[in-house]
Amino acid sequence: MKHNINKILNDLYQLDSSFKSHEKELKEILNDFIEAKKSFEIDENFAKSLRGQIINRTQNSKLRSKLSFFNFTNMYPKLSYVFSGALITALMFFGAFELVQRDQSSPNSLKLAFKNEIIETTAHAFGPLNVASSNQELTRSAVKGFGGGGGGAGFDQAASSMIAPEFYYSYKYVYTDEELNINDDQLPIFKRVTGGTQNNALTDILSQADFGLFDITKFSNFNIENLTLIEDKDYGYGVSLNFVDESYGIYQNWQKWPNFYAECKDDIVCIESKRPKASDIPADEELIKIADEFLKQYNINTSNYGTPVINKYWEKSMSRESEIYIPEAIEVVYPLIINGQVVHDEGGNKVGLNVIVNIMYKKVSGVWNLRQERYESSLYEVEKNPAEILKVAEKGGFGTYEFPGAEKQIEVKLGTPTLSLVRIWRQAEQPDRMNEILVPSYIFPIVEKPSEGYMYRDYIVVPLVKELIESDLNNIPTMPRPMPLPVEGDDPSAQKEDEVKIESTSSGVVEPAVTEPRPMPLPMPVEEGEVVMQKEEEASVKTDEVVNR
Amino acid sequence: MTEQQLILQFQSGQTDLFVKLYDSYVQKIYRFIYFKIQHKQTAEDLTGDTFFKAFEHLKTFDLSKGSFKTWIYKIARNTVIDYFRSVKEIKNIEDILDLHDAHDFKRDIEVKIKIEKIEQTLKKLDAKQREILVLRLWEDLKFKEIAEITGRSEASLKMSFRRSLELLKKSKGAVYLFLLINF
Repeated sequence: MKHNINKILNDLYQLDSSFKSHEKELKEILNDFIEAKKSFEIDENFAKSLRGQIINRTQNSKLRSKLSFFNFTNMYPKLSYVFSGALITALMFFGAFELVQRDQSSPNSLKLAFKNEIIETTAHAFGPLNVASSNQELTRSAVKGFGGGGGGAGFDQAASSMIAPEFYYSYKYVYTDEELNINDDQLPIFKRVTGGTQNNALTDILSQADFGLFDITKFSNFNIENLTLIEDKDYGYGVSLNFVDESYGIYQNWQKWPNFYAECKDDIVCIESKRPKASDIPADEELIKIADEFLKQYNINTSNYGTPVINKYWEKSMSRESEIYIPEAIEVVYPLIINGQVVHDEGGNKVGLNVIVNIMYKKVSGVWNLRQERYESSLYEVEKNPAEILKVAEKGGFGTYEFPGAEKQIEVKLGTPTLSLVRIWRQAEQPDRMNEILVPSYIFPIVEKPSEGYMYRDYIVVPLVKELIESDLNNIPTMPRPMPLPVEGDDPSAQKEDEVKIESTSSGVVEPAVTEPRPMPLPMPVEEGEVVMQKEEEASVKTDEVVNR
Repeated sequence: MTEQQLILQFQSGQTDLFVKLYDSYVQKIYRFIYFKIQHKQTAEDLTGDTFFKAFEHLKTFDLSKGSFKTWIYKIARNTVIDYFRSVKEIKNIEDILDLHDAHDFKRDIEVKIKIEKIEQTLKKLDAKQREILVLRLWEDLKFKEIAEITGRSEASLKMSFRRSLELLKKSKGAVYLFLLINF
């Protein structure tokens, strides 16, 4: 900076040498002006987010240039009106596959690349988002409210017909900050896609191997789904490659890391002496530094992720000062950024690359969720009416409902929301698969937690997709079904329903007696879209079946 | 790899190299825009627009006609002008650069406080002079480059600066600052 100022001044004096006598004041003013430059520094998070968008564009651009060879609209102009965006999506998909290929510069190396990209599709390409699969129970958050303000604002937690506790609080979430304003009629949602990575060359090699115990060549059409590699050295790591989900995992090779439980065996005193203490916990900056260095050392690409944060969930229930529980490892989360937006889970917490730092050895002991981030995007209508959005927020967010009859209702204040992407899960076409979908949502921070009850939630999440809000407000789950009431005079030791008594008849033939089944309580009315547990067939004893046995 | 080589490789299909250009220029372009707009959110939006436009058009950029540096600054400048036009109907482009002063646009309070110290000085200069000040002092651009960006000739700029120089020499304080617009 000093050199620059001098250069500027020298140029100035060449124009007019009389300014030389004011050099001191000039330098002062120059310094002030250059100092003011710092007021205009770019926000790091924004710069990273924009960088991510640029990368997406460059990748889509590469994809389009590949596809120009397969441009149907040029080859068959009329068909351009016939074929839907879905076909184009399929073509783009095919072109996007990063096949296993041999690096030209190193023929013996294999290139298995997981690609990151976003592929635009037509609007509503993923179908309705609020419909449950006929093969699966509708997944709904359980009713919350055990004085806890929500057991995780789950969109898709398994339904459970919980019985209301005797005493609990209910919460009303109140928002009074800035007016909510959504300008767009539609926003993109993103569905993660996998299956683009093929490992043919690897499969070929293994398919020809001689395993000694059986002839593998008799099998055909192999595809490698998982692969695990282990470092055989002190503090070594294992690497797991999942080609189905297209994700990597790095974890400690347990055999090669110190393990005080194994050393101490059953000696409690020994275990207690070696357990981590609060003083072992590094400062946040140090944790992040350890994580950063590891990622750098192993060339782990972090271009899709934002500024790391420390996951402190373990401190929510107990303070580190109490030393009741100090974890051996603490997680550093690098938030995933898709389309310039940070991705969160249903609880409003950032999700992304997880780097686990062992606080006792000050080393990274694991890396999770390093994955190919490839998505299709599709536009869906958003709810523009703030009142509807706030209705969902007020009850605790999407998929959260309260049992009626709470002893007390407590108001909880919400802060100004941020618009981000939230990951939800929806049934895929295959019965054993779920689709990972990112939906634009408002994430309201809980400003102040009430002193009554126990609230561990930090956020209330409301997805902005209109059909999700409509289904959430219109499909309130019914009360838990009442337990059948005992009939007067019932003896628990008496004959059970449908039990067959064996009695002797006058002819000496043993015939079972028929017992009339007790009347079952009438079922609660089922609302459309509600979970209906598959019931076992009601047992009924029919006379003819018994007689003809 | 030089910037020129990078651009040539981009134009031959390696579009992912654009992110290197982004890394080199994002801070400068943002600062350039933010100084004019003085509203963070808008400056961020316009910065994004600038780079998206640069990405879309880099393929047809002719290296023989100028540097990438001046080209992207020009895009940024035009993006700001388009923005001002969209929020207020302006017929004369010369008025646009003064628009921020004359009209009540949103400004970040923090920025306002931080540059208060030099704002009094800056008020003595017109918008074009301030623009040149930023480009010279903050972005360390040569006068020739500034001329390319602003679309004015070096000669006309020098003449107007000399006139301004005379004017400011008569007033206190800011005259020294203004003389930073050197050549």
